[in-house]
Amino acid sequence: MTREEVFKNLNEIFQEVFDDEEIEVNETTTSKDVDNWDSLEHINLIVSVEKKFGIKFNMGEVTTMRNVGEMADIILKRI
Amino acid sequence: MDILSFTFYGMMLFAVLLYYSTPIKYRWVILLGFSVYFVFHANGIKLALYMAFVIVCTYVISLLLDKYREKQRLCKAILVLGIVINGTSLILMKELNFFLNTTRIAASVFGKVLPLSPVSILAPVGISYYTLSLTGCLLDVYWGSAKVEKNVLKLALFAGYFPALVSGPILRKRESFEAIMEGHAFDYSNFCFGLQRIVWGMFKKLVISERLAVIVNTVYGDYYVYSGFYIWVAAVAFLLQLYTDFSGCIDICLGCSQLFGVMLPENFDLPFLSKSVSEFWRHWHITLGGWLRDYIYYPMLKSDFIQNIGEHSKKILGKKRGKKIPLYLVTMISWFLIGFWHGGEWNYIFGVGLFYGMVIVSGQILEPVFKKTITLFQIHTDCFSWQFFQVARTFFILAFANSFFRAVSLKSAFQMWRQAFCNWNPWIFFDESLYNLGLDRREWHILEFSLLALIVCGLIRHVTKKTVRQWLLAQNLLFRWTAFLLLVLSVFIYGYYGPGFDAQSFIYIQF
Repeated sequence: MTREEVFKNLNEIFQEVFDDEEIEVNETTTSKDVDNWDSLEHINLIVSVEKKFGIKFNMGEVTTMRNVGEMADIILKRI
Repeated sequence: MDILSFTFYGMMLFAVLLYYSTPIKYRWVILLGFSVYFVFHANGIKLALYMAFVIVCTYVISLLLDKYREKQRLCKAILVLGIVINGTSLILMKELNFFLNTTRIAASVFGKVLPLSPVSILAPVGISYYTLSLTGCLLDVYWGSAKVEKNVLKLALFAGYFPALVSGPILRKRESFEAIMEGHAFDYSNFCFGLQRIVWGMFKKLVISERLAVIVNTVYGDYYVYSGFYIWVAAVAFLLQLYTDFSGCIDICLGCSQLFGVMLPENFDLPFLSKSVSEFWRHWHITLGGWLRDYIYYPMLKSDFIQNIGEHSKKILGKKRGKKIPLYLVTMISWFLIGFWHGGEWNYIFGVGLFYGMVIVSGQILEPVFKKTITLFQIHTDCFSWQFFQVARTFFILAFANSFFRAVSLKSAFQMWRQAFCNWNPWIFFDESLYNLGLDRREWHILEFSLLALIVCGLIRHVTKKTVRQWLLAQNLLFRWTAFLLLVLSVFIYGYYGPGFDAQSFIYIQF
């Protein structure tokens, strides 16, 4: 899977989790850029990403990833 | 060893001299030596060995976690063993009475009398802080978010670094380990900042907190006499006492650490400017909140069990409402644990735990109602008056909740608040009644001016987004030195210390 494809899938997940079809994420998107990205939605997002890509994040990654780009890096390493 | 004692500052002087006269590579050994001395001096040999046992266990278990990283089930079992050892060491020392009392009360409900009376246990200084730091190390190694520490002496220094042992901050390996271990070259401005911070901490503790303690002790000691608005005065005074005491202690500890060039994480960030209880807790005891978020809250929220509850509740309540159920559940469990960490007594569990959980959860449940009310009454939410209302509302909720922290028991806290509402005496603010709370007119004026200085410093910080020390550094030499000398003189002249005064222990040292 290419990085572009990962981001395409991530966009779909973000739009579903946050109930907003206009969300477009990129390498530098952080929780500050998306409305309602709080602790609950962060975990919901992580779980949705895990299901979609068939991977598991460890808790260290969950608490330290700084933007969507880092999330994509981890996904590409695991799939 | 009291961090306000001459013995402590004698030790600090010696430690600083030795630290900077040792080759940089070995400076951590000096910190280790003084931390060992501090631990033995504060705890005695038995409790020091108890602490050493937990450190060695954490060391061995983290090595095993690293070695068997590929064998997931074994690795998980080793992690559980480590958490059980650390958790038990804390519970045995700090929370045993909670279990004894709860078992006794539960048995009495079924008509059985169990001979379980509370036991008096002297816990090692800093047990609640170093246990969390060490448990965090284990989890970091397990998750691969920090490297395993192969030098047991360095791990011992990380757990027992004496400036952070007194009352935190709770250290995280990835944030503070390197800062403590790498030797720091002498830096004049850093050193001066450290000294200034120590004096500022003393000002908060000896000038403000000790005076507030007089008011608090008077009212809490006899709340049947001091009823009505006296209770509110005492509740507000205690909240301010707790802040000046705890943040003063942290200032002294962080200042001491800065003398070695070691910057520790901040524990407070203008908490009383918070507009909600949840915002307050992101600015108060920050390292405890961060620890619980990363090691308890997130893992619980992500666990299969909680996720399954979320799936079921979505089916029953719909997607939008249902997905909030796990959040409410985990929030309440986290707040119970915060209260429990503060002590195995229900006044802590309720006042510093469940009450906050209930406020936060009910705030989230009622959010749509609040939004509709704001729209209905056309309330402007982006103006000063609304924000001031939010800050004041949060402050009084905190004053109420923390009164349970100060009360001797949950029952006496409720009795006290009943007394608050059974007597209407607002005139105490206008006649001279407040001078009967242990502080005379002169003492009240000193307290008022000191609190004003605290507020001004907070506002400087808030407006300039710099620390007051950085702001002062940009001022002219005369102004800078006048401010610093005034601070030193205030501590010397108005501080409660020396013969005739017995400064109360820092509140958070007991945790």
